[in-house]
Formats: sequence, structure tokens, C-alpha cells
Amino acid sequence: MINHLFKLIWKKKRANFLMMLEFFISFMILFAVWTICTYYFRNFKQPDGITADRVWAVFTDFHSDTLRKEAKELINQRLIGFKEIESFSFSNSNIPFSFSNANRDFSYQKLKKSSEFMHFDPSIEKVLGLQLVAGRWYEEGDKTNKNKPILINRNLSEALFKSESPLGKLLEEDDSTRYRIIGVLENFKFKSDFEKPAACVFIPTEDRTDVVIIKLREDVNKQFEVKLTKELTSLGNNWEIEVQHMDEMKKNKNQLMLVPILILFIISTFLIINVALGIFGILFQVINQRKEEIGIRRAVGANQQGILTQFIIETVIIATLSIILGIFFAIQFPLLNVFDVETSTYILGILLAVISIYLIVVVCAFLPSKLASKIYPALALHEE
Amino acid sequence: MFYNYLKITFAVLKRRKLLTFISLFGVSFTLTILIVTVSFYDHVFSAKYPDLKRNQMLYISRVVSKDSKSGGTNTSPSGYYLIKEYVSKMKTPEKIGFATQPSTINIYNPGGNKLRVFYKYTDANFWDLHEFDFKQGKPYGQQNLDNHENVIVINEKTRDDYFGKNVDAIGKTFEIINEPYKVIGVVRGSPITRFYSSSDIYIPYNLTKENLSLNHRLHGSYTIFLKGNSKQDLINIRKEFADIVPKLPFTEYDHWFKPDKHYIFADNYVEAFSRELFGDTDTPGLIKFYLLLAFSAFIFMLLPAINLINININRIMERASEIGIRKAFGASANTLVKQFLVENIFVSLLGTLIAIALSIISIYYINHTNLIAYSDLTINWKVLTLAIIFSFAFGLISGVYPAWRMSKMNIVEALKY
Repeated sequence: MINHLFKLIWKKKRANFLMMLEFFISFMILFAVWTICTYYFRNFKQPDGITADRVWAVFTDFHSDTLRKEAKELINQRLIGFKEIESFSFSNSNIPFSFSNANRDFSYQKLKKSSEFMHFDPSIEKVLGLQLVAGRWYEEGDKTNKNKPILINRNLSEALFKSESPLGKLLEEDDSTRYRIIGVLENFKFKSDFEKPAACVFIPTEDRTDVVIIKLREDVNKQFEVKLTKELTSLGNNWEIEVQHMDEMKKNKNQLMLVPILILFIISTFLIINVALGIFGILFQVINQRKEEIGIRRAVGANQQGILTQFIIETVIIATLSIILGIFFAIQFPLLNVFDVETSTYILGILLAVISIYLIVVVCAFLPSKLASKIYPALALHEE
Repeated sequence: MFYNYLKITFAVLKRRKLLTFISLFGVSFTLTILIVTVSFYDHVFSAKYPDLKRNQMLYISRVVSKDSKSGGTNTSPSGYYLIKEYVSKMKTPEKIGFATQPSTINIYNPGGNKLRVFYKYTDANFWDLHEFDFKQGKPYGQQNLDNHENVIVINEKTRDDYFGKNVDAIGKTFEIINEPYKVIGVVRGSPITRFYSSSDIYIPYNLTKENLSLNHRLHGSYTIFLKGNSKQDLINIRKEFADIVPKLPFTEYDHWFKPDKHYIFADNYVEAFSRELFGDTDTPGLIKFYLLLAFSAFIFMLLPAINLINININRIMERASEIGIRKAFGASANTLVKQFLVENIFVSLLGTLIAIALSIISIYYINHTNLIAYSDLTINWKVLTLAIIFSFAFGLISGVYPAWRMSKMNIVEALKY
């Protein structure tokens, strides 16, 4: 039976080749779309590890570098005075959900990993609801050590130290700069809900004051933002203060991720509909042309069911051939590790693409095939 | 003859309504997406409000200093020092202006509501170089700048949000974090995609809190506008500026970064854009930019085109008897190819008509849902010409192969049906 169908397909190889090409390109598009969707969805399902509610980021600009230490002390004093503020912490401009980022390579023995670089003080733990998994935060005594103390996140710890404990080990930035790892923080999302937490390194803020992250008490009224901005601005000459709400920053970043996906989704949906309709139309046409063949088959004893399955299986075989070719190309992505995506995500993407192609094939082939099976042998052969 | 082809096309289209629908659906949706994309391209790159003089202008949008030994680069907009000491002394430009790129700030209206707005520092010439539509008041001039007056120009939306809808804002006080400014003009807003000129609030540059006089840096935050009257003027300006660049000093360096070459260019709008995205230091990367656009359009049209080829081939099979008879009566392969191509292009053009209607709807939707504030996407003759070129290309791509197949058809085979 299958052999016979192959022979039929081979006889019309030129027409079938175009259909194969269509299935192939559709498969590749579906593979891309499903892989991207799977990737983002899996990231989305991971725990946040950070709370952005009631958190404000105060961006400061003093227009001079000399007074940093004094400025920090001034702000510190003023913020303690506000009863609306639960806790606060100083940081550099690379804070979660901001538009800046800082990357550096860190290595341990021969392993190297590009890591996000953040300036955090111990007080950040309460402000953002972060979790310390192992070790401790920096203490006063650390300042005298030759190697600066740092914390890393679980992701970096797993990448460089596997199952070993990273505590006390030295992390190398370049030949002359080494840091001693004193603690490990739980992963938290800092780019958007859809990106997986990258490897991170946290070093003391020291006298940096680019951003103050503030956790507010509950039911703080709207006017507080004006009051806070005005009072902080008036602390110094020429100071500029900008307050941003971290939940809004997060929403912004999420939207920035979602819009391109949405556009991709719309365009690929349209392309797939286009293909599905095309195949639907072609099968109608093909069945019209093969009326006599169907008539003969029916005359020599094929039943309706047999004709129906024959046409569906013919299309399925063509689709399968292109899917095999498609998988050959798709599998190169995990094999060559083109992007930093888990193999299981690719496999899920391939699987979903295969299912969607078969679904399209069966749905589009069903109606024309049903029509074919209804052909009366006498009528079909009468036209000859 | 041509008329006959059209008649045949119509007859064929009417014969198989399902296939006709599928062909037209494919063509029209593909072209709709292309037309909307082209319209967006036109929105970004054409000289539109308030950048109506864009074609007479050159932009110095970024300063790149390179340390060829360590490979480090420092990239940023131009500094005030570059403008004051070098650009303002140039002889060829008819007018020189500058402005910062828009940044955001939070302000609070008298009711205590937060407004997140874009602001921009500009000089007085900025207003002559752009054609803003003043709803109320007037722009600030050199006089206001010289007197260090705290005056600003705002757009309509900011006025409505701050003072209330359609209130006369001229002379009223507008507070930006403890600092009072007097509103001197209200302009019609412009989309942020024209970021060299668009903003919610415009502030005289000398009110900035940076200390301009102490600043000896070529790097800074300004985009410089240079206006010439003719094409020749623009060439001369480019030349004069290119001669200045090697004379620029190297003022910013530390122990690890010692720049030894500056890459600064006076570019037209598209060049400035593509240099930002695709350019290396020497070329603006225009070729890369256009190739990428063409390649994306091709990739996007590929699948619908194959689909249409497939449908077309099946349609020819159906017309085998017609083709057989025409061949038997002496029609050459060439005539048949020509006929089929004409038919196919005609179908494409029909699809284009539908596509234009669909595009008008989508563009209306984009303009009216505030996807981009003040977006003014239109379908003008430029977009239409491109749409028709696309549709011809589409018709050709999807018609050539089926037509060739048809012309190769054996008479005896064809007549058998």
C-alpha cells in the first residue's frame, strides 16, 4: 500500500516538490515560532525571586563627581527621616528592569562566564526580597582583605563550580583582579519576566549613589512622590532626581519583549493560513484531475473509506518527507549550540511544529478527500 | 490582443471561485503587510512635520573616538565644545543649530498627578531649522537665551495634561521639579520616531545644569544640524567638516584609553540612521541597510509566492485543452508565456487594489490607537509606487515558472484531456 503511494507521489514529483517546499518552509517558520514561544513561556513560569511592588528607584544626577561621599550621607540621613519608607539601599545604575547593563567575563580555573555586574549593599535583600542561599553578605572586616569580597547568584555558581560550594573560592576577572566569593544569592529575574536570570556578580556599592532603591510601607499616598523628589532635589545645588516605579519599569520591559513576539506571531499566522488555504485549494484541484483514477479504483472495489485514507496518507507522506528534511536543519541548532537555549526547548519546539504541520495537513486534506471518496464510479468514468 | 487576455483572465477567475479567492487572499495580505511596512519606512525617513527641511540638512549625530592600540572606542552625541569651538565657525552652512536627544523626566501637575514627559535642550536656531506649527505663542529666540530667561515651549498634549484641555497656557508657570518656567509657546506634537526634533518640552540649552564653559569635551549630548540651500551646499558642508575632523584635539583619556582618531561625519538623515545601526567607523553602511531591507522583503514574499506558483500550476493543468488548441493553431511558446504573465500580473494588481484598501484600514487603526503618539502614517504616491512595483515583482516571481511549464506542454498530451 505504502509502496504504491510512493510510486504515485514519484510520478507527480514536480507538482509534489513544490508542495514539499511549502511544507518545509512552513515547518521552519513554525519551528522558530514555537521554540521562541516555548523559551519565553518556560522562563515566565520560573519563580521571580524579586518583588517589585511598592519599590521605587530614585535616579540621581549631581553633575559633579567630587562630592559623592557627602551626597550619599546627606541622602541617607534624609531618607531615614521619612516614615513612609520601609527600607532603602544604594546601587549603581545597573539595577533590575533598568535599561542599562554591565557585562564582564569572570573565570574560575579554566571556565569562563560572561556575567552581569551589579552594585548591591546588604540592605538590598530586604528591599527587593532577595534570598541568600549560602554564605553571608559583606561585613566591615572585609574591607581590609586583599581580595575584594563578592556575592554571586546560583546560576553563576552552577556554571563555574557545578555541585561544589563556591564559598571562599577566588573568582578571576583578569590577571591582576581577584575576588573572594563569600555568598550565593538565589536567582532572580532582572531583565523581564520572559528572560531567564543570567549569571550575576554582586559587589559592594561603596560610595556610588546613582540609584537609591526604596521599599515603601503600605498605603503611602500619591503625594509622597512629589514630596520625596522635591526634598531630595533641594538637598544640593543642581541636583536632578527622577523617581521610577519598579513595577512600571518591569511592565515596560515586558512589553518591549512582547511586542516583537506579537508581530512575529501575526505575520507567521498569516503565512501559515496562506499555506493551509493553498494546500486546501490544490488538493481540490488535484482530486478533480484524478477523477478517472478514483472512478477506476471504486469500480474495482475500493470503498469510500479506502479512497479517503489514500488521499490523506498521500498528503501526510509528502508532509513527512519535508518534516524529515526540516528536522535535519532544526536539529543543528541544539547540536551547534547557536543560541544559549536548552536542548529540551528546541525539542519541544520541533515537536510542536511537527504536530502543527500534521494538524494543518489533516484538516486541509480531509474535506477534499471526503469529496473524492463521494465520487460515483459510473459518473467519473462516464466523462472519459 | 491585450483586451482579449483580460477577458480570458476574468473567465478563468470566475471558473474556480475557491482558487481565485485563495490567490487573491495570498496576494492581498502579503502586499498589505508590505505596504504598511513601506508606509512606516516612509513615516520614519521622509521629510515630514516638523522635519520638513530634512532634505536640506546634514546631521552630526555622534562622535566616535578610537584608541587603535587597545581597540577601545568611546561613542556619544556631540559635546558643546565641538559646537562652540569648531562647528559654529564653519563657513559653508547657511544655518547651524543643535539640540539634545529626547530624555524622559517625571513632572507633577498642580493636581499632583505624575506626567512622564520627554524633554530636550535646544538652541534658538532649532526653531528656524524645523517647521513647527505653533498653536499658541512663539518660539524662544536668541534674545531670550542671552537674558537667561526661564522659558519653555511645550506640545499640546503636555499642555492638556498639565493645565487642562485647550487652556491658554502662554505666560503661565510650568514647574519642573522645583524650577519654575514660563510657557512661551505651544506646538502641535510630533511622533517620537523623529527623535532629532520630537519632544514634549523644549528648554533653552543654556538653562542646562551642566557647566558649559568648563566643558572641554568633544563628547556630550547634542545632535548638530547643518543646513544648506542646494545639493552643492551639502557637498561643500561635508567637505568642510571632513577637513575639520583631523584637527580636533584628544581631550578625554585616562591610563587605559588613549584615543588617537576621531570618526565624526556630517550625514544626511538615512546615513545617520544606518551608521548608528549597521555602519562601521568609515562607511555609513547604507548598502548593508538596504540589502537587509530587500532581503527581509524577499524572505517574507517567498512562501506566499511558492504557494501562488503551486496554485497557478494546477490552474494551467486545468486549461490544458485551451493551451493545446492554441498551440495546434500555431501560437508560439513566447506568446503563451506572455499571455500567462499578463494574466498573473493582472491578478496581482487586483490583489493590490484589495491590499490598498486593507492597508488604509490598518494604517487608520495604527494612527488612531496611539500605538505611537502622533503617528501620521499615510499612503502617498511614493508608497503606492512601491506597492505597484512589489505587486509586479510578485506577479512575475509567481508567474514565470508556471508559464514556462505551460509553454513546454506537449500538444498531443494537452489535447488528450
